[in-house]
Amino acid sequence: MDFSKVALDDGQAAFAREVGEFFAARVTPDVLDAEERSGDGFCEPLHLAMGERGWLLDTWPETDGGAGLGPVEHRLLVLGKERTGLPFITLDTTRLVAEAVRRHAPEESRRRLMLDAARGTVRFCLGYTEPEGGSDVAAAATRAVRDGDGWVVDGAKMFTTGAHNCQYAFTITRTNPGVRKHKGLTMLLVPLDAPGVSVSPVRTFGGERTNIVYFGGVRVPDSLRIGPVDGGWGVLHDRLDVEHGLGADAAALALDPPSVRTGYATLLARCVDAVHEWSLGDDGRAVAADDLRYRLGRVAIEAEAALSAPGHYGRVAASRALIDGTARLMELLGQDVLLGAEGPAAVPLAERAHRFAQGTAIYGGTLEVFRNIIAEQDLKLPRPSYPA
Amino acid sequence: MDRFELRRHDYSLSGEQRQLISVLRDFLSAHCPPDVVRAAGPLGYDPALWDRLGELGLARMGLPAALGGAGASLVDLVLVAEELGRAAAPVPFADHAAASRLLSRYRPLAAPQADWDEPIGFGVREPGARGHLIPGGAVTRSAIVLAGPPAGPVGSLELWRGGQPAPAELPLSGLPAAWWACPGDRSVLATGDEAVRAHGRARTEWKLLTAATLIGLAGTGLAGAVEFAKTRYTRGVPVGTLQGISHPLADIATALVSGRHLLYRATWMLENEPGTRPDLAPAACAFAARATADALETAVHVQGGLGFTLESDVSLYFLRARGLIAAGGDPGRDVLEVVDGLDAIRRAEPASRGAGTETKTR
Ligand SMILES: Cc1cc2nc3c(=O)[nH]c(=O)nc-3n(C[C@H](O)[C@H](O)[C@H](O)COP(=O)(O)OP(=O)(O)OC[C@H]3O[C@@H](n4cnc5c(N)ncnc54)[C@H](O)[C@@H]3O)c2cc1C
Repeated sequence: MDFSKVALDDGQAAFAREVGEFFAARVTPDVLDAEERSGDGFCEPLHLAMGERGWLLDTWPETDGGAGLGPVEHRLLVLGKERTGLPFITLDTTRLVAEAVRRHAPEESRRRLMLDAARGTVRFCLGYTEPEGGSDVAAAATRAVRDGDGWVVDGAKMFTTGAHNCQYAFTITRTNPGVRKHKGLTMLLVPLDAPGVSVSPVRTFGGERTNIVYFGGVRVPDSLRIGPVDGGWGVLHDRLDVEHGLGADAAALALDPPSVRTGYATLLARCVDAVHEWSLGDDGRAVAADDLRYRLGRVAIEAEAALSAPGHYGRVAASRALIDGTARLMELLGQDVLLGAEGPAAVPLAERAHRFAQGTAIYGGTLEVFRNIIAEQDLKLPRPSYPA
Repeated sequence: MDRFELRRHDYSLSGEQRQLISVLRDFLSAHCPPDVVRAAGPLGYDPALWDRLGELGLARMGLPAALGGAGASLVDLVLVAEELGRAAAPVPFADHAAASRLLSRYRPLAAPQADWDEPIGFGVREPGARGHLIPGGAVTRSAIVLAGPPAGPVGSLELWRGGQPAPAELPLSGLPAAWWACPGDRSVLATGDEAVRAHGRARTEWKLLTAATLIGLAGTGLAGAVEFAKTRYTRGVPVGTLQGISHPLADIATALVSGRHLLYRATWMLENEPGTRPDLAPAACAFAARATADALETAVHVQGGLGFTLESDVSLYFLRARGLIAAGGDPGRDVLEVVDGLDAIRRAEPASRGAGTETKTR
């Protein structure tokens, strides 16, 4: 057990300063406003500037376009990104797919895609969910049919976040309808500028912009197939986090938070801090009534518990804490300030977080899907029987 | 507070800690099955089990080597308390560990060695009309309390022996609590701010150990409910395949894992960096109290009518948890202490404003 602050050597301390200055200079109020309006989860100049430093695929070696960062520097970079408060959705999806490319793309396209992704000129989004449903990923109906040295793709993908800023959609296609659903899937990188692709915006009340993408007779060369034909399920279930490559030494340092979704809990903790700040007088003494302090305390506790939750438990804990906690903070801040009366700076932060929170129960696998996983994998409860 | 500081998140147990747990778990499954818990009756104490645990070194674990102890860390004691909770062991471990550690600071050599093996009670809260509530006080012959003028600021940390405590019984809770009003013999260990500070630290230790006991109890309750859900059938399927059953179980598993981790982190911080995160210990205690109560409610309910019978094991855990939660006093106080902790963190920060004015986005 160890929760100590990590002691930085001189090089690491200098790197930490570099990261701080890099983001402070580029994440200006204009950038934040633009993100708030667009809901893109993407800022091209920032993305390209990171690419110039090898910071997009930062743990890859420099020869592959990365910066060869070690585990400590990598964490410093991640924390620097998180501190900006910007969502880096397209960067996250690009990193995931880039790792799949590195492991599974054919020789003729692999190197170029890796280098371009690392530089920032090629971005990837995820084409998993379809209009008919996302939880049952293996039921994908988008067809890819062999045609000479390539494929012809027909179908539609829903919630293809970032597609309008990306060059390729990492797409689950059905290549063999005659076998069990998991066995007939193939992963293709569908070029988003190819004839037959259309991308239309879909907005959420959390502020995000996502898309619906239609494929009508889209030709995809076989060099953009990622992994074996009909072997898409295996590619999807390969652990595709780039950090995985840092190996056992990095794991032993235990620098990563216990779950991949502690970011939701961190967001809640920041809202708690902001509301707490508001509850204090200028001299730092508590001014709020016990009633308000009690309600704030309850949310603070949920945030800390969610920050501690490991693995897929953390996905459920952090999303639930954020949804419930921000709702309680909305009540606590008072209805008049929500309706526009003069109010503290905490209001817009918490109000946005409250809307954003609802989506966290859905993407990346819904809460119900994760409860199923906990029930089956951790509690070893018997699986429900599904007809298909 | 800087939420983006580079810290380790190492929740893993050392080889020695895993060894400790496995020895204790084996011991308790042999010597403390549910019928032993039941046989301990309404008093919730099994002196023979206490002696056996003493032979394993548990009574002195948290004491320095000079007193025959192992100098165990508070984290180690938390792990022990969790195991004892898992077995619902009818022994006042949290009281004894908190009180004996406190006593050892003031009376390192005064007491004959054997005394350290005898359970000592601990008055965790301020005195009420009936005196000091000692959670294990119905079965201990001595107790440490923070006495003093009822409303005045000056405290007096005292070791009381041989009074005639009045039983404080919560129906069926198996909590050996008693109200101690007038001791046969009292000796003063410390006074004034020092007394209040030392008692406060021991109180936090008691609360963390009790939170661990609760999490252990709830974990056993959950395991029983999961077993039931696998083997109980309705309309041809195990009830555990129904999401009305499995999802609440997944949620309480989530809460218990979160609560256990939070407790570890809070304990580690208190021990290694006291003062950095004063909000965490009360947060861990309040969370454990609520998560345990919720978990055991669910564990009862999942087992249908059988869970509600006195014969069911889960009823033991349910009732015991309620007793332990009551012993610590109003968990709402812990919630307020969390915010006091946030105040203290904020006050310790340099003049620049904290997270509230940092950046304005999500
Ligand atoms: C903002 C946003 C961004 C997204 N970005 C992407 C993206 O970039 N790429 C991408 O491919 N997808 C993306 N998604 C889609 C997301 O992954 C899906 O919405 C999600 O997987 C759920 O699928 P669905 O919406 O079709 O709901 P459905 O699968 O139709 O589910 C409907 C309801 O049934 C429940 N349910 C389903 N199956 C079970 C079960 N077995 N047991 C119990 N309950 C069940 C669900 O929890 C849900 O409440 C995004 C979604 C949002 C909201």
